[in-house]
Amino acid sequence: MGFRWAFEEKTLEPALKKEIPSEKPKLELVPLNRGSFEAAPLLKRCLAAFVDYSVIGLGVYLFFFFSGLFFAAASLPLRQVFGAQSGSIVSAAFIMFSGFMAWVFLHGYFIYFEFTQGRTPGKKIFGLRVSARGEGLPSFRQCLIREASRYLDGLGFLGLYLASRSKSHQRLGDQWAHTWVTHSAGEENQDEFFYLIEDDYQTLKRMLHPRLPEEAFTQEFLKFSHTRWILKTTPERLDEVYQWKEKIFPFVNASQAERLEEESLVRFFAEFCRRSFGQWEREAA
Amino acid sequence: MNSGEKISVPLPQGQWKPAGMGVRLLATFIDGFIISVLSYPLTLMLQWSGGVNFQASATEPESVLFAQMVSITIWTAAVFFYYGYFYSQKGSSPGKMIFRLQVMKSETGLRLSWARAFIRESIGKTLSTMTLLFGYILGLLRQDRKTLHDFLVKSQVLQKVKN
Repeated sequence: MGFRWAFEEKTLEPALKKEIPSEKPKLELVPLNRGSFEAAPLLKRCLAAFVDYSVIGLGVYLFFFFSGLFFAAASLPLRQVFGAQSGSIVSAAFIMFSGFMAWVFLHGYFIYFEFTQGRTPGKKIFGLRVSARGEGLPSFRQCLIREASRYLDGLGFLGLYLASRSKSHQRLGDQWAHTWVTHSAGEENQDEFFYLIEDDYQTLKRMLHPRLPEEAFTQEFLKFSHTRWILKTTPERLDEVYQWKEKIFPFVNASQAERLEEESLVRFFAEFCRRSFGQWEREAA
Repeated sequence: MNSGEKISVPLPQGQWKPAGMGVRLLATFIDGFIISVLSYPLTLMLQWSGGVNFQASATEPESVLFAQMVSITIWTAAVFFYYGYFYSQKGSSPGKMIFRLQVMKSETGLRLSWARAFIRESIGKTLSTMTLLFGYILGLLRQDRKTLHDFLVKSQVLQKVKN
């Protein structure tokens, strides 16, 4: 099942549709994958859960470490005043307090992130979102239901079994709270695209049929684009962009490249070189 | 077609800046924890199989030394596969992804190779620690936040921030 999500980010597709003259053959545009969501694959959900529980585990470990130090320090003067028996009272208090705080942290983590952002850090990495159909973010009540049912879902991997049987991969908590965990490839890869967003990159790649230049050219070109658009350590000189545009032309479909603004073309080619050259380098290694 | 009719591609949201040492430290903690969890089953299997006694006492120095060497080997292999895969394929590790950090070659922005990733995370970070943490302090003092292990493999860590 798939449904669309509203994004602020604009993509190139509407602009291309508008700009294509009717007498020219229409470009084959790739479907938007940034805005389209599908039911989250179970493997990704499990990996996201693993990352989330690792973060929680680390937080609980650090909390136990520091609260342990505090209680140990506090027990010393108490032992001197009330005798050795007060040590066991402090230990019991430490275990109860820390256990309660760990429980609060475990559930608070999921409720806070899912209610405020629709996704936990683990889900963010794998491009997953918890959504309430038609309303976007889940409500606080829905987050609570999801969280409360975690115990039942965890019993003998019941949640995993139910999710694998369900078409929309809903575990028991999802079914009760009427929420869906969805996946977007575009969201998952968004930080891996530096110079333009993935949809535009894929569209332009089909349009321009780029070829990778030789190594020295690619290295020099990437140094230019990296310092100009990513690090922003070189001044913005338009003549340099024009020069690079001329050099790039032999490596792309020139007639289609003419339709693009100079900077857009150079930025696209930088992303292409970064991705393709990296892949070439890895294969060569 | 004049320049005014040409198609302009919108920029991606957010911009890149050198990543602060605080988030990098947190990301390292998370990655370290994940690596520990991942390598724990192998340690347990070796313990149960009787091949290595990880709880050997000081009265058995040879067993202690052997167990330590096995532990270091497991950790090194885990670091190699974990960082090698994530840095070369994703440009970031799960801990770093949480904070939208990317590790890249400082000059070109290309991803690190397996070898560079391994040298950075093993030899590089050991050097940064052995120099009385000077390798990390360097990152605090410099504007580009490059540490000793970054200089060793010519890498840089950038963070994507919202506009």
